[in-house]
Amino acid sequence: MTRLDSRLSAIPAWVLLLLLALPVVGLVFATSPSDLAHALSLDSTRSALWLSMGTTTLALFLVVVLGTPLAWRLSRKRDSPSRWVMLVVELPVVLPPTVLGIALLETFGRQGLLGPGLAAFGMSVPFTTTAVILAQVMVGAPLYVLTATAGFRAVDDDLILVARTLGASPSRAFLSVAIPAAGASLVSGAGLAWARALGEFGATLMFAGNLPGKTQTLTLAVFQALEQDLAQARAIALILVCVAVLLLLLLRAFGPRSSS
Amino acid sequence: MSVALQLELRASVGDFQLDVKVSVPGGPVALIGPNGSGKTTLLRALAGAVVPDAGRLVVGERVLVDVEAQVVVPPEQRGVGYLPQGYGLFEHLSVQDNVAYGLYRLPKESREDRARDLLAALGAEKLLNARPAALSGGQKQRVALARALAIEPGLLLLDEPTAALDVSVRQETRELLSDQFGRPDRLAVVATHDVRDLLAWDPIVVCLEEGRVVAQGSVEALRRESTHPFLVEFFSPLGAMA
Repeated sequence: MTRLDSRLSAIPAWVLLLLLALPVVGLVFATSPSDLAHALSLDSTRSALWLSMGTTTLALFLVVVLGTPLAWRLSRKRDSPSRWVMLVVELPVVLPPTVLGIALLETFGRQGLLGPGLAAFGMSVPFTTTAVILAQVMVGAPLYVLTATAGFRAVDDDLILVARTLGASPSRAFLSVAIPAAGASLVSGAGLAWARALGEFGATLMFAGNLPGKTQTLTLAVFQALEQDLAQARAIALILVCVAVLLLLLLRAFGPRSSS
Repeated sequence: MSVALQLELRASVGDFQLDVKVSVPGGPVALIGPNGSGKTTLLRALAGAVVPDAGRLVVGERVLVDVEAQVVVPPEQRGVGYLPQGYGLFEHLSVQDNVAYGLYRLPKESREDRARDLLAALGAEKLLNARPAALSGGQKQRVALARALAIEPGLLLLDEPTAALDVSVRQETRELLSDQFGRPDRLAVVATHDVRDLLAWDPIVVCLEEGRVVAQGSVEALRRESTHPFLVEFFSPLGAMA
């Protein structure tokens, strides 16, 4: 590649980089420290922050605990049923969040598929913190399972067979060999799922509502503040950016090192 | 003579059909054949990774597979030492922890002592704290062999153990393996592409083609008597050496 070629190919790269970075820079410049301090002093912001952190952590826990065995099974099988299972896993990625919200309501709502059964046990899911977590699991799990499946597929069958011949049960071989071998992908998938859950808006709004202290996450708090006080909305948005950047830095710290 | 092998297995792996019948009074046994003939698949079947459709596998007195009697011993109970072609070392563990992996039922101190002794016996004691990624092919081979030997396997399976090695360490590795193959309580089954491996180990040779056994016998007998095109080609370097 000549120097001219190199410079020409750098132009579209810079255009895209600017497109990605400028809105965040704009948000940082538009938000004054006093607006940020004021937003952080509000109970509603702090409760939305803690609710976001708490629900996304719980959602991530569920995604990893339930998604890791599924990803492992999908990685080892390439039969027709597995392809259908993969389709089910991929579906929430391509469906609009509002559609997911309606689907969750039609499943867990009072008149939904499981609603009457849950009501018989005195349980109601919509418009509760549980609904927030379910919506976050729904949008985050596919990203984790797809990334983890790709990571597990790269694990050589022979590694597992060697572990088994050395006396390891299937579960010990999975935990002590497959998980460390796919570690970087698992961390990366967990980070993506967490980030997606943190930014979840549409499905949460429809399925869990926007109840301060109960279902109002940071993204919903931005939405509500937009209608009342733009400065506050900007400040909460900046807090969300800071949390996301922190998450990316954590991923950088753990992900690549485990893959090297 | 080491442990006897009676093998009659039919298995499907994807589109590939394995249908082999081998009976030998002792080892070592060398599997040869063109690429895709089923050498690795047969080794994996012996290790327990392939569930057979029909047949029996008996190593010494021990029945590992008898499909009719619904006996299929899982890999962790076969007492098999398996060295895959890429060595199969666990990259996240040190050399010592790799070798000690199969000794998890022993106390930590005993595990470490045994790993150290095994590595020392194979001339690799200096590698104890190294990571697999930092090792050369020959060093990986020794560590993988030490790990397989740690569980005192009755059946030792090696897939192309000299193929990826530098010429300088190939002969040394052959001699190292030859010592292990001579044990009376152990049967070694080795897949190889290299006629010099056969000269070093003097095994019973089983030639596979498209998942079936097309010839079986001693190196000398097959070299002299076989007219099978693959065997003629395989043994041709011996003519050149002579």
